[in-house]
Formats: sequence, C-alpha cells, structure tokens
Amino acid sequence: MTLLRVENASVRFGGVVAVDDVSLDMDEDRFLGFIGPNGAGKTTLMRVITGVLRPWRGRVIFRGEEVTRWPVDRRIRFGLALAQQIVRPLASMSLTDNVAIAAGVHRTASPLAALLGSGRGAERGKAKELLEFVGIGDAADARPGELPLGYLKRLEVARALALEPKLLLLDEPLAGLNQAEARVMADLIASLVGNGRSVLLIEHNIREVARICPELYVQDNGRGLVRGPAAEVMASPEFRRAYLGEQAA
Amino acid sequence: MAYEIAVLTTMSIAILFALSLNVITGFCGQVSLGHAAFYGIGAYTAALLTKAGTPLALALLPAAALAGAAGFVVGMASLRVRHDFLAITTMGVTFLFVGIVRKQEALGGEVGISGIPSVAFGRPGLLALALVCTILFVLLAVRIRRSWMGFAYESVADDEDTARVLGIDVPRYKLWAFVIGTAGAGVAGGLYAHHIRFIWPDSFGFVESVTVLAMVIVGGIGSIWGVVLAAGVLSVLPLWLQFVDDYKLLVYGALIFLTMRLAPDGIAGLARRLAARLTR
Repeated sequence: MTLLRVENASVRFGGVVAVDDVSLDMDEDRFLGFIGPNGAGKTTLMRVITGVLRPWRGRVIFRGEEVTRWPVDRRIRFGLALAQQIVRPLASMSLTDNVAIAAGVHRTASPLAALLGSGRGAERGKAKELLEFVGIGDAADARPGELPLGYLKRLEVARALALEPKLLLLDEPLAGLNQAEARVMADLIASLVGNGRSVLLIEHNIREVARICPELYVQDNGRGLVRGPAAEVMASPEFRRAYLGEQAA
Repeated sequence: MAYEIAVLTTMSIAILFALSLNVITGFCGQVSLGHAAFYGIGAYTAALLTKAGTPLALALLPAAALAGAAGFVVGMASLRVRHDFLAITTMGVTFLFVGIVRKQEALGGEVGISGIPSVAFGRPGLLALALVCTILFVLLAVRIRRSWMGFAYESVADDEDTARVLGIDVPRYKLWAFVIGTAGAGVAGGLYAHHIRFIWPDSFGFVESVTVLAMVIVGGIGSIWGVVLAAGVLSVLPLWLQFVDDYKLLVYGALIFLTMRLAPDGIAGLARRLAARLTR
C-alpha cells in the first residue's frame, strides 16, 4: 500500500527553482536511499514532506490523506518523524527528557488533556531504552551541550523513533561522523526498516547508502533523475552524469 | 492591624500578577512588555461592575474573561512575531490600552474611576479573596509545571521549531499560555482596583509592565517559588523605601539589568547553584 506520495511538487525560492515538478512515492515497510549532489534539492523536498515548506505547486499525500496544507506538528502526530541534518537538541533538558517528550507525543496532542496528565515514568523508561538502542545510553542524564556531535546525531534518531513513525525521514544522519561511526549508524538505520516502518534516507555518503539501501532515488538540479534497485541505479548513465559530469556518461 | 492587612493584600495581588506573567514568559518563553494592559482590563471591568452593584467575587469572572479574550488576540500576534519583535509588539499593547482608555468618557477618561466600593467584610474580606485567588493560581501554576502541558512548554520555550518536529502544536500551546496568563492578570487587576479604590489610565502603563517583568526576572524566569518571593518583596519595597517609590522605573530597570547580567536565572537559579555547592 502506498504510504507517501508526492505529486508534481515544485518549490521556488525567489527566481530559483529548488524542486521542479518532482513526484515520488513510497510503500509501507520500504527503505529508500535519496541521493544527489549538493544543491540537488534533497533537503527542500524533505521539507515539503515534513511541512516546513509548502510547495508552490503539487500535493503531498500521506497514509491516504492529503496533508499538503497540514502544519508540521500535525503530520508528526499522524506518523511522520524527522531526524534533522543540523542537530537541534532541546538544550535545557537531559537526553532522556529530549526523547521522553517525543515518546509522549499523544499526551501533548491537546494542551488541556496535557494539563490533566502527569507522570513521565513510562515515557522516560522508553526513552532510556531507545538511547540504549542507538548506543548512547551512557549519556542518558547528560545535557546536549556537554556532548560531541556523534551523540547528538544519534539523539536525533532516538527522538524520531520515540514518535513511533510510519515513515522516518533521515536527513544526512552520517554527516560529521567518522568512518567507523558512520558504519555503525548505517547498520542501525538499516535495522529500523520493517514492522510497519519505512525509512527515507538522504545521504551524501554513497558508499554506506549503496551498502544498506535496496532501492535508490537520484535527484539533481531539483529534478528526479532515476529510481530503482541500488545496483541498477549506480550503473545508470543518469547517476554517473549527476555525480561525475557529462563526459563520464 | 489595618496596615498589615493592606501590606499583605498588596503582596498577594503582586504575586498573582507576577505569576500570571510567569506562565507566558517563564513557562512558554514569550517575553511580554505589555502585561499591565490586561491588569488594567481586569481592573476597569471589575470596578465598573461593582459600582453597578455586582459583588467583587462575581465581578472577577468577567474581569478574567475579558482580559483573557484580549490576551487571546495578542497571543494570535505572538504566533507571527518572535523574540525581540514580540517584546516590541507587546510593549505597543500597553500604549494602546492607555491611549484608548484615556479617551473613553465611560471609563472616566483622564481622571479615571474613583469611589470604587469596598468589598463585603471590608479590608479583611478583600485580603481573604486575594489570598484565595493567589493560592488557586499558585496551585494551577504548580499543576502546569508538573503536567505534560508544562513539559510541552519547556520544549516550546527552549526551541519552538524543534518542539513542532516533536509533534507539539506550538500555536495552540502559546495561545493557552496567553489566555491563562492574561486571565490571571485580569483577576489581579480586579483585586487591585478594590484595594486602591481608585484607578486611572496611568495605573496600567509601561511602568507597571516593567515592574511585573522585573519581579519575574529577579525571581527567576519560570520558577514558581522564585517569582512568589521576588513579587512579595519587590511589591512592598515602595511602601518601605520612599526612594523606590520615587524612582520606580530606575530601580526596576536596574534590577532587570543586574539580574540579566549577573544571574540570568534569578534568585531561583542562585539558590539552585548554592544548594548544589553545599551538597557536593
């Protein structure tokens, strides 16, 4: 069943067309690698999916509902989660609470219901499990400001998982990690797919993407170029042109 | 005894007023420089109603409702502007309030409203009513802080874009903070009008907005007991020290400046650090 469908989305910033008539769809339990050179419009399309940006033209359909005009938080509560490229931890809270507030997403959905609810034990317990799962359980009580980037990148993933999403969007989760860290993180990401959860992974680290993603989608200059099984895409002339230039193709 | 009752009433009203701003600025992280306007709306509403024969305890309800409705409108503006721009926008609210009230004959214009009736059981009765309202608001603040609503507010105050990505409906939470906070200010204003028994536009101007902000900042933005303490002390300073009364804006401005410069988390933060040092 189709989980996400982006139909003919276009985004313009002033005179620049960042995303040009792009369509993309994803089924349940799938793992799609989304690649393309710098400036390809990957993050822009991701923002259209999360709702940070409204497309100038086109629609976004998620779990059978048209969500094009929904605000970000409503899409999140409806089953979308995002780990951002630039980490944005809540600096005033411990790592546990950073994840616990995401785990309590249905308790904060309505302010009045939230006022009646107290007790954060269950959510904190779940948060600690998720921090262990992504490998940063040792820092559960630390504040984000005290920790290196590798920890914060994994905090983003733990927080996104706490939302129990149907579709997990990961925007360059490997950026800034060293080779060993990137490999561990990539394996972790691959293990998230399934049981009703799909993953859309934007990544520059082609080596890791090719290793873990069964399916790839390539975008360049705001246009979708090619999509298919990873090996076929990597061998395609469109992929070579996007990454190596005209002559290589 | 009458003097002590008057002092306690002053303190109680100031604590309620400061705690109401603490919901907006402390819990939700939205700086407001216009809180006195809602205090004024409550004061005028309650004064007109009691002059028409309504008991104060009942008149406080429409005072809260009107102030909260105005707070909702200002809260809508807060959805569009952030940080410094929000401070400037809310500052405008104070001037708007004073500007409008001055020109309304029905509201007493420049000369204000005098002869506001005393409440049942006189001064002790007013003190009792003020204490009940203040304690109820303290309980509400504690409840918010401990609930998931307070948890959500922490995230909004920290980084509202991140809060949205975590599924928090930031606009709705902000509007609730404005409504709760301004309704509380409306009740405080209604009590104030019956404490002083004379109100005029300048009672609710920019100076009052800065005064209440000073109480919140000195107490420790977001801290319930810190704000209670700071509001209690700062509200009686002008009664004891003539100098403070004469140079209100100077004294409160200096307090805000010194706190922000030396201990941005206020008395509550100082106490927290001291306790941490002692237990180590």
